Amino acid sequence: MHRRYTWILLLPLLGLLLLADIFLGSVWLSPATVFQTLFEGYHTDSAAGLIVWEARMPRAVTALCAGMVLPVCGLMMQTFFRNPVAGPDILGVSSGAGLAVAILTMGAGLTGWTATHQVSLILAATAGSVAVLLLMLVIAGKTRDAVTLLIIGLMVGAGVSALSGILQYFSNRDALRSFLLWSFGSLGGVTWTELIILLPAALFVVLLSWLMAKPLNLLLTGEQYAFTMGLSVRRARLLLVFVTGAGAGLVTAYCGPIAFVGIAVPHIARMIWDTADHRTLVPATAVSGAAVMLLCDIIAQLPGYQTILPVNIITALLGAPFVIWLLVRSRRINNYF
Amino acid sequence: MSSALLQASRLSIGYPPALIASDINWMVQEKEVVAVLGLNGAGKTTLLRTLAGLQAPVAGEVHINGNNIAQLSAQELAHRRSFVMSGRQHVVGEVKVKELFAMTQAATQTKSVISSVQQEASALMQLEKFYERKLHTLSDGEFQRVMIARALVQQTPLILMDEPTAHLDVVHTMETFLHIRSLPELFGVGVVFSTHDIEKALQIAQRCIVLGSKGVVYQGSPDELIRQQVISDVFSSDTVHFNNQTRRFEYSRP
Repeated sequence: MHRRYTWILLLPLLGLLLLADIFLGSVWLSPATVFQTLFEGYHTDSAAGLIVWEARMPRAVTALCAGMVLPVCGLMMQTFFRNPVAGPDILGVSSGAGLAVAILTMGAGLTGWTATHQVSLILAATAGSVAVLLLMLVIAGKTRDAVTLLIIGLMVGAGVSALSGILQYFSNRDALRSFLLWSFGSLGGVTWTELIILLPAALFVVLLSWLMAKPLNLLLTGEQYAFTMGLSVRRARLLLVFVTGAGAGLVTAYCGPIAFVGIAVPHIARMIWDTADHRTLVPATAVSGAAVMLLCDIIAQLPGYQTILPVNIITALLGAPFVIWLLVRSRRINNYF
Repeated sequence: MSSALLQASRLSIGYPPALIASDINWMVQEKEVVAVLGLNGAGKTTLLRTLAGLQAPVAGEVHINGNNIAQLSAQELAHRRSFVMSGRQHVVGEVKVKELFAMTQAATQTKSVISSVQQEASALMQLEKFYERKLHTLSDGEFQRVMIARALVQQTPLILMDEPTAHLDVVHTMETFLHIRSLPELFGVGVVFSTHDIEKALQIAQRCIVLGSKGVVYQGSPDELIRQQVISDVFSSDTVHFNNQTRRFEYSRP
């Protein structure tokens, strides 16, 4: 009963946030204008049409995608690393995607080879995420301590970022500029032609994660118990690594590294739905993640400021205190999780 | 090949190249309660893990209901045996008792209704009032009861338990042994459990397997093992011995 009410409340809230994200923006358009622009269908021959259809709509849909996928990746990572503060940005996965993108964008500049096609960008970012995930998985096999794993994850992230730094140092100004802009993390700049790939791919990642709910549930009891309950642990782990890597790579390729939503939102979902069952948690995390991301985007471009802040700043401003509160509340992360 | 519930044939266990015990030939019948006894490091856990398919035997075979477990998938194994691990294993993610049961059921059974087995197991282990509790908030004794009930929910003909009474106080230890003894009759399962509480094990087990020093393995009913002085030989030191009459451990007189 309780859970059903949560869904009934949250889905309209998500719709409202989506509308708010389209109606509000750094340039003030009256609600009537936005309504009219929306009803007129896609057009870019007026300023309002351009803003609504080519800036705000793709931005909102991008927020929806990133908000669904990153937290679901965080949820899966928290379960299979058995660590409550695991997330794509924490264990160096985003950095891995970043390095791959850096190699592609700047390395291409160095060799004279131009490969900035979006599919190659996605594939590179996915490969980068999966590589770091596999490395972390090997390391996780050697340490049982959640804190040690986190610190190693931070080190791996730092090392991988340093490699990107070397590339930045040697690359030309244009390539450097586009890479730096990407690394701020932004929901803008994703076009409709890119969304045609991003949106279905994001939904597909969420669906795959939802199909992995049973294995994820069993992994909560540990790999040994999971095996005695019929889980082929090695296969499940590999599948999870690839789904997580693809999800994190996908979003990072388009939006840059976006911090904190991946760690924080799964905890919000656990609290609201009061469950550990991934059959509920995966859709719950996706929907609350989309809502949180839209909220962050609305804050990032509040009317009257003329500029749009990188969404990364907002997610960090909201997310960092939340994660700190989470850790203080549970005192010891090894105990809590 | 007879279809005993559990059969070990020429089984050698250990971590190669180190052998813990070799050439074990052993059978557990349906609805039997069998104790695995031995001193620290004798290989009780290794034996149970090998029987469960959690680690491969060094040599030999294990059959459950006539099927060689080396040829069964994880899923097929999960229908044939369940496992209760020693001590307090970390279950992460703030899982509730009822969720653990539901996950077990979803993983191992096709129908998703709450089974009567779950209700009966919860009733036996007095767990109804813990349904909404999260596992990490339970005491050691409560946690162990939950894990035994979880193994029952898996609905397998065989349950393997590695030191189910480790870290439990005397009351919970005695209660747990009582539960173990009642499982075959109530749930139709056979139970193989290891323990350091030899006096109690000799009272409730129908048969025992004793892992002695240097890989020597003894088996028999408690009466046979006591009469053949196996218990008093394996479990003795300069200061402690087993009294075959009182069936208790005593301090030797100086």
